[in-house]
Amino acid sequence: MMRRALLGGVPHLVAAAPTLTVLIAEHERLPVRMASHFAADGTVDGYAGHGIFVGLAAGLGVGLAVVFALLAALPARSGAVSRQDVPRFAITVSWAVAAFLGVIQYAAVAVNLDHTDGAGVTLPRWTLLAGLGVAVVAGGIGWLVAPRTPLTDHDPAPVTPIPISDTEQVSWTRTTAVVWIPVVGAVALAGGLALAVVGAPGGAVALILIGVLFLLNGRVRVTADRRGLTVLVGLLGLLRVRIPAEDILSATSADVSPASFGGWGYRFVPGGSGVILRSGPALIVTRRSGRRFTVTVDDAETAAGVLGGVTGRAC
Amino acid sequence: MLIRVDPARSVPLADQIAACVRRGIADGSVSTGERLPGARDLAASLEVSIHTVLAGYQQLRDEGLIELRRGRGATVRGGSPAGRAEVIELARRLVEAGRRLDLDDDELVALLKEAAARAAGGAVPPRP
Repeated sequence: MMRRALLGGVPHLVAAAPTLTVLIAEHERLPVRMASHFAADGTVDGYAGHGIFVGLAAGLGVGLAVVFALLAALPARSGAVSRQDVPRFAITVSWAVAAFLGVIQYAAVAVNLDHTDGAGVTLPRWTLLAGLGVAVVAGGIGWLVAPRTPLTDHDPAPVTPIPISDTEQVSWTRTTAVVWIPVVGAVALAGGLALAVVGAPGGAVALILIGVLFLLNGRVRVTADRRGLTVLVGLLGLLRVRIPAEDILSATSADVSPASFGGWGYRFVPGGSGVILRSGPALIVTRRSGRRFTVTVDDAETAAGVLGGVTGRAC
Repeated sequence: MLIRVDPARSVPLADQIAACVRRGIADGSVSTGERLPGARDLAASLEVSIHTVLAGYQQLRDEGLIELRRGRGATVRGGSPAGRAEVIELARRLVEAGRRLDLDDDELVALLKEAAARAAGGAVPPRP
């Protein structure tokens, strides 16, 4: 756990170090108005002071270190959710992102050295490519040094299929509703409307959009029947996940945690996806391709039994 | 809530749907204020006609278990729907058991009245 947190977080501190060292040690070689933003052809189109550079490099380094440390350490690797090693994947991404940002930030500072003003500064076009290249290499090293995460739980216990006769029709439906999601939506919406009133359209649009999204998507309706699995997300059912019975290899139920998915919502992890509104009982469907789909819903055992009965095999 | 219907059984499909929902209300897998699946959705899910589902829902409305409102669909009524659903289910089982013994309706009602009077601790009315 601790080792994974360090492997996830430390690269961002290391990546920020060269930039910060140059910024502080070579302070007098840098112009007061530093070039901070560059157009696609490498010419400068934005400026910032020395303090902003230091703040940004330090803030990004520490902030991302914390975020990735949590990401790499939190997800207890649940074999039920995905057969892939999700925490190891998080460490790989962390190393790649750290390397990319480290190269870009260092380059943006280094090109300012020995200039009296940021106006004449250009960023070599290959900086971006170099950043991507270093990111790929660093990601690869990250993958190699990251420990294989032991499975905290193995494939969940099989669920006995519900026997369904040839003439019988069966339909299981259940709704998961979570209160805090629409509450957050209402708060965001109120904030967005306030911003709109005082004339800050950018922030207002973003907040109103987030507010409406959260307000509408605090619930999910899950249906299991002869056709397979149908998951309707939100009051309007704008998002629909449908897994036909022919595509279902097995179905089972297990307790899951949003941490295994890196958060709440419609989540993708290597080897699977899920609609995760809370922690607790969830229906887990394995497709014929081996990919898994998880949806948090009560009485998931019955749903798994229905899908098992429909597909005519034990899970 | 699990709904199972079998066209091969002699019980009408609408009754089978109503019985499943009633059981769901009784065992708490659908609770007060919860919305039942839309008639169209449930019909598609069970591969039955939408009228069959609506007939089942109307039965439940007549029993006071759910409310049917245009545009809002079917919702489980307030109060203590679980207990009510259980009582209705027991009544049906009583009638079925009576039918097997060839008891007619008057005899069943008399039995119920007698049981009610005993429970109230009052005098037991003479049997007709």
